[in-house]
Amino acid sequence: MTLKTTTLPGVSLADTPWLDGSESRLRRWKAVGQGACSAHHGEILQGMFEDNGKLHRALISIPFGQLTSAAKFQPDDSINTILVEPANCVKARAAAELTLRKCGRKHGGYLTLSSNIPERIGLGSSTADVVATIEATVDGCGVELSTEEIAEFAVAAEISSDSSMFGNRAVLFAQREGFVLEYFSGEYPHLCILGFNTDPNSSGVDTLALPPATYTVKEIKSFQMLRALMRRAITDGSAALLGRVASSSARINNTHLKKKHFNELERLVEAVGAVGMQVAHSGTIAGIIFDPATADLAERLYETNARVTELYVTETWCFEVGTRGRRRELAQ
Amino acid sequence: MIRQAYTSVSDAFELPRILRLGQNLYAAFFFLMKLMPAKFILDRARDHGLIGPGTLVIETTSGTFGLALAILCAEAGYKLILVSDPAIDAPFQRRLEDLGAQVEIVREPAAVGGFQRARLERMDQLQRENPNHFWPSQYDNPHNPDAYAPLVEIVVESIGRFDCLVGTVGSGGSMCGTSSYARTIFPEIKAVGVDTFGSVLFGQPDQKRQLRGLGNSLMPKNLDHTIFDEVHWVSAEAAFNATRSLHRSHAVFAGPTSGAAFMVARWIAEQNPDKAVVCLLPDEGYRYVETIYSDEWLDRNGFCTGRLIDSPTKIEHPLDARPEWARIKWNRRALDEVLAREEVAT
Repeated sequence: MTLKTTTLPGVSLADTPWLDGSESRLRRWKAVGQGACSAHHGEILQGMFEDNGKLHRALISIPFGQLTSAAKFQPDDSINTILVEPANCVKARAAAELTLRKCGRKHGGYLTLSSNIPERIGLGSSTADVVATIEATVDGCGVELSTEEIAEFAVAAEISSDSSMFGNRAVLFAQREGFVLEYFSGEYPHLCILGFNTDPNSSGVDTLALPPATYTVKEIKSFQMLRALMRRAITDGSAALLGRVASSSARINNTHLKKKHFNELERLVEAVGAVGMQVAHSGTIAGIIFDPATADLAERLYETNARVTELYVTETWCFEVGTRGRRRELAQ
Repeated sequence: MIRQAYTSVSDAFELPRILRLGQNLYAAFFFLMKLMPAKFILDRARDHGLIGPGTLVIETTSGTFGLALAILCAEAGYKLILVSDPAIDAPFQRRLEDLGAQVEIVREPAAVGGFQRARLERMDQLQRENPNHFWPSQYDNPHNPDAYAPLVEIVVESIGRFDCLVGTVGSGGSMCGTSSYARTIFPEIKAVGVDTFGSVLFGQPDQKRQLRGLGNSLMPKNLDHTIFDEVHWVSAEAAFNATRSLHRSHAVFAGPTSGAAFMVARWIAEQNPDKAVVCLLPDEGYRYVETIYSDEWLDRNGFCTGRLIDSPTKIEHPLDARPEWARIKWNRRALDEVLAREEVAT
């Protein structure tokens, strides 16, 4: 079956400009550098994790390829500032500035952003802008950066960043420190997610305005358990196990940032035969996760859609994750 | 992740090995399960500034919790007094003392509550004499059940989802802690507790017990009856034979509590071939070489060797439990509820 992505409120999913699919990076000064980064759809897991006796805040984002931010950067050595369009993209501007200085450039340039990612609901609009900007800036300067370096720059530019730069690769990312705590052994299993906004009328969440959650020792121990189960879920390509990781993380974090109708949502997940639910831990987005191999998936999705729409009076959308692995499977 | 050198024996041996013993039967086989709660309790006490180098730790135990404390106190530089009774075997006592623990043996049982009560009384006295001590209190300290998340961590990483957890109950810490952590991920997991005849934990009258390391003469606060879906009582003879069977059939050299958990888990796995069953095997067999691993000792003490019981007798009330093996559907009820409901019915 084919699933259509429905339109997000107020955004068009028309092909994003400038993305010609070529990823070649030429080591020369370019007239215009390009960069792009997808949105994410909240997290599978977010919490605090112990590593070599130290505690780190970290998360695993769910890639959401349907929404993208794209950036163009035109270096100009006749100016020493960065002129950004739209002018309110201050984090992106700061990211371009920081990238230029880290690359040892003293000049400025023109940065243009085009994004169809809604802001302040937990889809990672700001990280996508910042990552696209860093990519466009280094591309314009003829410099290559690893994904890890981009992540480090992104956190330096916006204090707290998610792991969108890693795309479909499942990583546990320390969002305030800018490094990967753990690379899981593969990509996401094939998932089908029905997404929605749990609070469509709110003004949204400012990630940095939220005080970081203070977790108890028991909660931190539970996060370690979920991290271990995530390893198994990725290794086995199991949507069911991954759904359990996401549901448990959502439940623990709901005591810190409450989602509307959370208990009803948990019951709904069970009633419709979904494998779990995931939330944006610093936003209002949530998603019901299905194993695409579930019998009568289309009917279940329609039913879920009806129930969610009734519960939240909101629009929904449906998307798939891990389809690359799926295609490889089919080809075998 | 890359393997690292461990910096202490307690770190190296805290976690169990996960073994697959059959199609749907798994075991978490520990060197010394009690390291997990003992370490967690002492670490929390250290975090809260209750203990530091040189602190005196006092506990009453004749079992593996004492060994775990002795190892941890030796590593951390805490002083340790363990109050025990004549049931402690000499090699075990030497091991504790070699680790620096002072072992106090209570010679006379109390009129009510037996040696367990007498030990508590002696400990009270020691605690009054040493006001700046720390008491881990494994039976009542909530950090005991809270310590078991790393067990769930290694089980779910090794096998993913499981359906049923089987383990012996003494303080209630391991079963209550492990089930409640596991149920944060899989709420439907069944918890099966294994007790022995003459233990008060699940409603039997207190009696002298030959099977040690599980059961209790006093009710520990850490036992939350409402986590259990099913409870089994096994006799010493049945548990000893199962321990030997576990060794012969799988080369798992473990103690009698492991045998008790294994015999129940094996039966449940056979009854439910589509469910993954995990049993907890709390310690190794070295302490029992001269006893349950000796046919001569078994024979001399009136235990029939090599007799395996196929299945438990299903009962409706804890007072109906009779050797060698009984089971009751507990259905996550409180103890009062299980005991009271039957009174109405009869």
